[in-house]
Order: sequence, then C-alpha cells, then structure tokens
Amino acid sequence: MVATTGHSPSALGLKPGRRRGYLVDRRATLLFSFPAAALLLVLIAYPLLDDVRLSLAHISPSTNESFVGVQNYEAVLSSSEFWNSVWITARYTLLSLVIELALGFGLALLMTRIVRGGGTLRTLILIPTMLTPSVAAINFRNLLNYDFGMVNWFVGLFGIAKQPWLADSGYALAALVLTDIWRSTPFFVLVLSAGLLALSPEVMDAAELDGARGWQKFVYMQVPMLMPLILVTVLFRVIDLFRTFDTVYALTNGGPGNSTAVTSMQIYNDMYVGQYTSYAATEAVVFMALTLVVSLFVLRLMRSQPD
Amino acid sequence: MKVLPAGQRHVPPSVSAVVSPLPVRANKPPRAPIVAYVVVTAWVVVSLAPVVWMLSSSIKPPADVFAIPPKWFFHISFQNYADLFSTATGSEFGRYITMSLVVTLGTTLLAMLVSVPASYALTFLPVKRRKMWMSLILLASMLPPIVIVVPLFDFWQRLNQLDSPVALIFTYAAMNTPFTIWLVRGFMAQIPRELYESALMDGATHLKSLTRVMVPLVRAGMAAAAIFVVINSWNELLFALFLTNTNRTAPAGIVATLISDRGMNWGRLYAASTVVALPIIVFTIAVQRHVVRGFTFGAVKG
Repeated sequence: MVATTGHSPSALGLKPGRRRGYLVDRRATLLFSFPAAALLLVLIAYPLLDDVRLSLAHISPSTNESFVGVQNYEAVLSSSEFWNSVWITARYTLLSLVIELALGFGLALLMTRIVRGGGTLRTLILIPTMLTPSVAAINFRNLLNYDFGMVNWFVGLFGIAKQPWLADSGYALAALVLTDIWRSTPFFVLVLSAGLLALSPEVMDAAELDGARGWQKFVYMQVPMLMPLILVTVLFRVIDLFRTFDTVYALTNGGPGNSTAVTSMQIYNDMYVGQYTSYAATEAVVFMALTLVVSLFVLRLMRSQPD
Repeated sequence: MKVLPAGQRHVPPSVSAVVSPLPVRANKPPRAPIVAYVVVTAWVVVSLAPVVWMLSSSIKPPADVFAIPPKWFFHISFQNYADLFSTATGSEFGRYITMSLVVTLGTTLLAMLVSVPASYALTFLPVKRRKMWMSLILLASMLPPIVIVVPLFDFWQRLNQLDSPVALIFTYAAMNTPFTIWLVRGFMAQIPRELYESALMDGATHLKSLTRVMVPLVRAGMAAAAIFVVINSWNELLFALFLTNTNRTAPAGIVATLISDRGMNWGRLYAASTVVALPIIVFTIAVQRHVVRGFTFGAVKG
C-alpha cells in the first residue's frame, strides 16, 4: 500500500490523502476480475469438471449410469486406437517442428542480409500464415487430388506416375506435415529474424573483429543469445501442433483408415460415431492430462534458462 | 527492438579465445546477398503458388477449373462468385459470411471488454496468489479445444443457444481471454507503478485510472490482442462445426459442404476460399506492425 502522507499537493489541486484504502482496492479487484473470471469459470472450468463427471459415468445412447468408477479409463488406456492417435500426434508434432525450426532459422539468417526489399519479402513470406487453416487445407486437398490435382499433373511432366497422395497412409501424414511446414515456417522466420536484428550490433561487430567466422557466430553467439526466444516460439508451436484439428479435419479427415487421426481427430470421431459420450469424455480427460504434462515440461524448460 | 534481456548476458567467453590468433580481417567487404535473394525469392514463389492457384481458379469459367493440363490463359469470369452468392444455386454462403462477421466482431469486443480490466487488476491491484492465477491463465490458453466440446454442446443446448451467434461469441471469447489477459498484462507491467499511484493520488477512481491513464498507454498491446482475437475467431472451425448447424460460419460452412458432398463444385469452392481468406490476409498485412510482438508472447519488443 502507498503511504498517503508526505506527498505534496497534486497538480490538479486536489488535496493529498484522498487515496482510498485497501477495501476500495479489494472491491475494484473483484469488480475488474469478475467478468473474465465468470467467463472462464463457466465456459472453461465447468466443462473440464463436467468431462471428469462424464468420464466416471456411463452415458451412451443406451445406458445412463451416473457412476461406474474407472471403467472408462481402463477402456481408453488399453485402447490401441487411442495410443496410436497419441503416437501420430507426437510424430506429426516433432517432424513439423524440427523441419520448421531448421528452415525458419535458415531463412531468417538469409533475411538479415537482405536490406533492399526486405519488408516486402517479409510480408510475402508471411502470407501462408495468414490464410485460414481449414481453407488452406481444402486447397491442398484439391492440389493433391488423384485425378484432377495439380501435383499429379506436375510430377507427370517428369514422367512420374500419379500417386495417391491422400489415400496412402505414409503420404497422407507427410502431406499433413508439409501443409504445416508451408503454413508455419514463416512464423519462425518472422520471430527469429526480428530476434537476430535485435542482437546488439556492437557484440556482433566485436566478434567479427575478433575473427569469428559465420558458423562460429551462429553456434557460439546467435543461438545461445536467442535461446529464450527460440524456446518461447517452440513452446507456442508445440502446443499448437499438439492440439491440431482444422488442418487434419479438412485435409484428410483422419484417413486413410486411422493413419492421420491425431488425438483431437480421434476424439472427434469417437464422439460422433465410434464410441459413446462417456468414452469420448474420458479420452478428453486423458488428453488434457497429456497436454498438461507437455505444457509444464516446456514451461520448466523456459524457466531453467540461465538469466 | 530488443530481445529478452535474459539472453544478453549469456555471451560465452569462448568466442574470442577460439579465434583470437587469426589476423583481424578489417575492411572485409560485405558479401553480396545474391544467394540470400535467390533462396528467399524461391521460397516465396513456391509457397505462394497455392495461393495464386486459388485466386486464379476462382476467376476461371467453371468449365476450365478442372482442366488438365491447367489453362494458363482463360477468360476472366466471375461466374463462380455469382453462383456462390446467388440463392438460386442453393448456396448459403452469403449467410455464412454474415455469421462470420457478426461472430468475429462480437467476440473481439467481448474478449477485450473482459480482459482489459482483468489485466489491470492483475497488474496493479492487490491479488492474492497472483503468480498462481497467471500460471493458470497461461495453462488455460494452451487447452486443446476438443476437450471441452462435449460439455459445451450440452451447456448451450440447455440454454437453447445452439446455432446462434451468442454461443459462438461467448465460447470464442472464453477461449481467447487467457491469452489476451496475458498479453495486455505484459504491456501494463511495463508502466511505471508511480503513474498508477499518482493517478490515484490525484483522486482518480480505479475506473478512471484504467480508462484515462492505462488504456491510452497500452493501446499497442490492446491492438495486438484484438488482432489476435479477430484472426482466431474468423478462422475457427471446431466449435463452429459443433455448435452450429444451419447458421454456419464461413469456414465451417465450406468444410461441412465439402465433407458431406463429394460433388462440390470446385470453382465455387475456390471462390468461397478466396472470400474467406482474402479479407483476413489484407487485414493482417494492414496491421502487421502490431502483430510481431503479439505473436511472440511479447518476447520480441517492437
């Protein structure tokens, strides 16, 4: 709290000491936080708790039991389909992330050497990121179409036979990763090139005067100095990739078979067709827990940075 | 611009030790960035090809959209757009776009209205366990939307709000609020506390201190947050699929039509894609300078 004595009269000519007390501050806290708190409690916290309630019940079109213990958890945790979806999500996340980070850093380093036209190029690079993800995925779906897609026409020019890009399980996951690389690499370029430009030029010049070569600057200076920024960006992307839905839904719908059913897609399918309500809610709780583990892990990683 | 101060003290001492015996190469001419231009331009050309394809296909005569090999030269035709917005073709796209606009505007207003005061409280006012709340808010912003979809469907059904913009506006606002609070609070935390104290000392109420002193000072942060919400709600698909049925938003309308109807007219699809994508691209380019910091959790200060 602020001491209200010993201040000179204010510029507005009001008497000092009109500073209201702690109770006024408390009331303002409640009033100011209430709308946000209500929104988050009703539409985020309550649904999460409701998931837990549903997961302990057995609610399906045919039954309605309000408590069955951990039966649903046993079903989900022993379901190879569920764990397969987690495995697909993990592969999709890691593959996209590693490639995007490498490409993004490379392009960002190149961008720092470009002076004339840099602004325009940066805007153009960013356009894929601005596209509505589901719309972009639909367009990729058409481009990869077996009969009428531009990609099969293009590879045909080189004498390569038409490939079932979205009907082959290996290709389909690759197509998903590719779509995300296309969409999200610019995000890394944007952040990393801003970070590179912000590195103190004096330090960089000093290193150059000391004879540091390009790769030495990169390994010993740029990467360590940008590490906090890299970690924040990676955190962002991991969370985003981990909960991907739009792109998968619009590009492959989880198919062929289950080969691109990331966890969000799997839960969606189980909700609509494959399973009963309580089963899907249980999957949601488990997925929530997995996300929490990933989030906490990355948060710790960020905090453990030397500073 | 400034990067997180954290990194700046982290210059390894090894750099000069490794290289000091080398003669100093003074006056080294900067290498011509030709390679840089070539590689970056190549990336731009390849990555924009699908976008250009979408735009150009949308203005082809419907008969040319499927042509293989592609028709590079064609009569520009706006037939696809005319079909898209004409009710005679059974297209409901006009309604979808209206719904998207209403939901996006409503969500942005609501999210800003609730998150700015909350940011003020979390920055200046006495809040018990402030750190815990901030961590919870951060975790909430990472929540996968799929996990709350089943309970939310029941919730809005019981309130009889399925298929209405209200359900989407409140749901989207709730999903975006954690991030906007986090972002706006980051900007407020940089305001010297003396400003807050002197405002109150001058007899301002908290409401005045918020609206007259703080809001003008964090306009950049609020702009970044609002832009973020606009983009998110315009693009959202999952909740729109679940919570609406006939009053679709545009992305949900397009995707649902596509998934349910294999014979969807591609020309119309390209036109619809363009109508959804183009406004948000133009919008993002227009507000670009506010975006960098917002998209990086305030990690890059611009």
